[in-house]
Amino acid sequence: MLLQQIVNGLTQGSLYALVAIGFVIVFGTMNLVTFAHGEVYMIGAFVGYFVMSVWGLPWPVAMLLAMAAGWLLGVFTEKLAFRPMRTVGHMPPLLITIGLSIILKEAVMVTLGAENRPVPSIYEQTIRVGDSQISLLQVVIVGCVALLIVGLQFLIQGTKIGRAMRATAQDHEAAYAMGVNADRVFNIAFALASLLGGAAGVLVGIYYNAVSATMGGTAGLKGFAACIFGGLTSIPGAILGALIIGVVENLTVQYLASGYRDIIAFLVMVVVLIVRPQGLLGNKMRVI
Amino acid sequence: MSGILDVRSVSMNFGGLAALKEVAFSVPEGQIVGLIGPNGAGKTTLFNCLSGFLAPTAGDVLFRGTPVAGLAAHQITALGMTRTFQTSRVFKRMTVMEHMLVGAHLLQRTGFWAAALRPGWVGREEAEARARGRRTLEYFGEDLLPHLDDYAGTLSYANKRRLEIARALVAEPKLLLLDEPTAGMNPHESAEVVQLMRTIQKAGVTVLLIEHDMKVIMGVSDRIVVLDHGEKIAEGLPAEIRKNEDVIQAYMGRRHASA
Amino acid sequence: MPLHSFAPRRDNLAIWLPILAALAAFPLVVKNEYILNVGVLAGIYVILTTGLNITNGYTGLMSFGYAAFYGIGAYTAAILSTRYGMPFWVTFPAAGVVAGLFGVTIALPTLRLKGIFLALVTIGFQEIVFLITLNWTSLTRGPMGIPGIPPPSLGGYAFVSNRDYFYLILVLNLLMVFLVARLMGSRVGRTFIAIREDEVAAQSVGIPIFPMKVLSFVISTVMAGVAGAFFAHHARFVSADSFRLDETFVILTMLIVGGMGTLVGPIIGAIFLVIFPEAARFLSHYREIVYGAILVLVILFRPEGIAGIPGIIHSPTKKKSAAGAAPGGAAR
Repeated sequence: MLLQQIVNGLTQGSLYALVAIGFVIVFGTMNLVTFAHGEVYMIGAFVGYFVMSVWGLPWPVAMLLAMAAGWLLGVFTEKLAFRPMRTVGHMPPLLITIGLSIILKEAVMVTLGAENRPVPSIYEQTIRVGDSQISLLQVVIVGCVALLIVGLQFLIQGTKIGRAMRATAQDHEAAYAMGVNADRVFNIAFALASLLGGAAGVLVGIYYNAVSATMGGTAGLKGFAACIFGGLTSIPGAILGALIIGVVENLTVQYLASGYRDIIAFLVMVVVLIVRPQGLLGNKMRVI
Repeated sequence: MSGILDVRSVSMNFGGLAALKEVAFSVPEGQIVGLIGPNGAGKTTLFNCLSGFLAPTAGDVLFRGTPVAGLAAHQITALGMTRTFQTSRVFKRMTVMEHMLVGAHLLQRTGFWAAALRPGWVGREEAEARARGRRTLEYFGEDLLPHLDDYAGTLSYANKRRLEIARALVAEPKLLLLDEPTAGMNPHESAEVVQLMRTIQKAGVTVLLIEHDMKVIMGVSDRIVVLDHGEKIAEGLPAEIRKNEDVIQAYMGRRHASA
Repeated sequence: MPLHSFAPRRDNLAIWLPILAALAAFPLVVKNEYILNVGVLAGIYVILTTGLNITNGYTGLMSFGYAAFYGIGAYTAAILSTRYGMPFWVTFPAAGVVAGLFGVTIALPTLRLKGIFLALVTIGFQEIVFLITLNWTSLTRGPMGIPGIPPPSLGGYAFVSNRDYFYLILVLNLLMVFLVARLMGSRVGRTFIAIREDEVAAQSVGIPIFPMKVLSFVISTVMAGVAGAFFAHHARFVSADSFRLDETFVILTMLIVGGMGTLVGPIIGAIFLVIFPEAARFLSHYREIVYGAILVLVILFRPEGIAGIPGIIHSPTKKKSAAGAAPGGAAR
């Protein structure tokens, strides 16, 4: 049973990790926070719903379209919220993204209603390991996440734009002085983060067989909790935080009470911020 | 030797960097003491150590006989030492009069309950504080008084610097630390600041002054302390300092290095 | 006199007395129960928004967990009245006290954080309070909420009609505005503003930063608590779902649209954003979307809101390091 919970937890955690990495990318390159990330994830999930449930197309198509939708949303959000407000501090962009998240959530609610929409089950076969069942779906999901993360690493380490992002994350002014186009870097960073969010949304829809307009709120906050655990600027830290949250959540549901499942992420967030605000692996920033 | 302020072997390390190395001197009560040195000598760092914004890594600071090294800034203000800052730190969205009121924060007693219930003495305390504020602003002639209800953010640069001094002055300190008070001022404005310092010295305030303007420092200081690379390299009367070889070298050396 | 520096005093009676008279006459003229209900709601939100303004507007703290204290106040009143039969004049202050105690408890470990980190930790606490309220069924009845909360009754008179509620909330509002105006115009208020403007300079004039931040936080949570008590006795039913992050964002939007750091800003913001969805019923489902759009537009084009002090939410990224020069350059 324990192994089952851990497997479930790692799967769930890998999905949180995608969301969390999005936050790390945005904060790392731009030093800013977005509250609309959860809604991007929700929209990705709905794209998945439409592609699979309504149009009956296979899930890779859903993934691609959701990632594209995420990318577009990211480009749009960056141009609207962050570009005009970048130099005035982190509060105005944050507040704009709060407004955006309200708009996106309500727009979906108005047009599609607040109920859950079903997403078809796939890969239902299971493998027995010990006394637990690992479903093929779980393997596929973790595999997708891993692939995306590897792809991201390749992008960041191996390409010109990735180097530009890293340089900007280290030192805005130096990067600018070396000819890095900050606007372009920020736009791509944000679009990339949203792409990952959209992908996470689709995968969650597939995993739980349902999407709803309100799924973005808590997911976004949990992703944030994982991001903070890792130190806001560390991708490995965020992944670790996400996996830990996923596993502990599942253990809590199994051994304590299911209603308290969501509390784990927030406890992590609060404890980390109080005890060690720079997170596990982040740089010592001016947080106090 | 002891004065109103005794700096005893104060050292300040940041990680591996030694910003202050065993700096020691005294400020005699009632005098104007100048603190000079090339850029990066550690003057503002020393101010921060004296006024509670930094805790010295080693050494003592005695203010009127009380050890203050490592105390919090607001505690040191309560003991009678106030300061201004190298870059203007006025409260942009508070009026000039509000600066005078908040500057005298420690001279008032109104807390939450008194403010809410407002017994008679609160109104009297407020009126007294306003009167005290006006008196302090009179030191600055007609520069600040016409702007009593203006937001500090709208003041001219020189007025902002004056306001910061006024704010530090209204608390009736025994020792006033001024960090480059004439920075960015023209000769006429600087001369007014010099005059101000003489006036408050007559009123019993001791002044420790960081300045880059040699004319000002030489003209107004009773004593001068010179720092370079975190160490005290000279101390004495202005005339002595002017001729001091080490001091000249310190400034010259900087000029050569940047040439 | 500019809108944002308005405070009701003896010398500007001519401005606020007619408004007060109009408000007092309002329920005598308008008999429509629905409109009166909107008025009561506006009154509740004026208290909430003014309370949030104390921390976020006057003191510059980014507190984002506000609805939790609103909920704590509401649940305190609900539990005390339904389970222990306490009357309104007990539950009302008790709600404030309990919310205030929670406020201190949360303030102590968190107020040394700043900016986005303070915002996040307060959000974290907000959600934790919500989840505990939802799950501690023996105390709160969990997702079923607490029904059957009696209306306020003072000296035998039960405030049942909307007209009664309106007058009660109007009196509460007057008291609150009066107290807040006094407080913010006093030494305490100046302390909060100084902390917002420049913590370093505030220290240099002798202000102990942390205790004053805690005081500011507690004042705002007490206000949220009493607003919650009033809400409980008005709605006669409370459920944890009403006190989530969404609700904090509603109050925050009212504060930003109305304007931060002034007395009238939150009042205008609350009234405007309570009345607007009702007046704009023709927009029906799209109201919430317009709500979000208003927030976005205000930040983009008029961040000080209708009657706020300009510049409070802006914090240019080039901040000088504390108290001047530190070798090696301050961390970015």
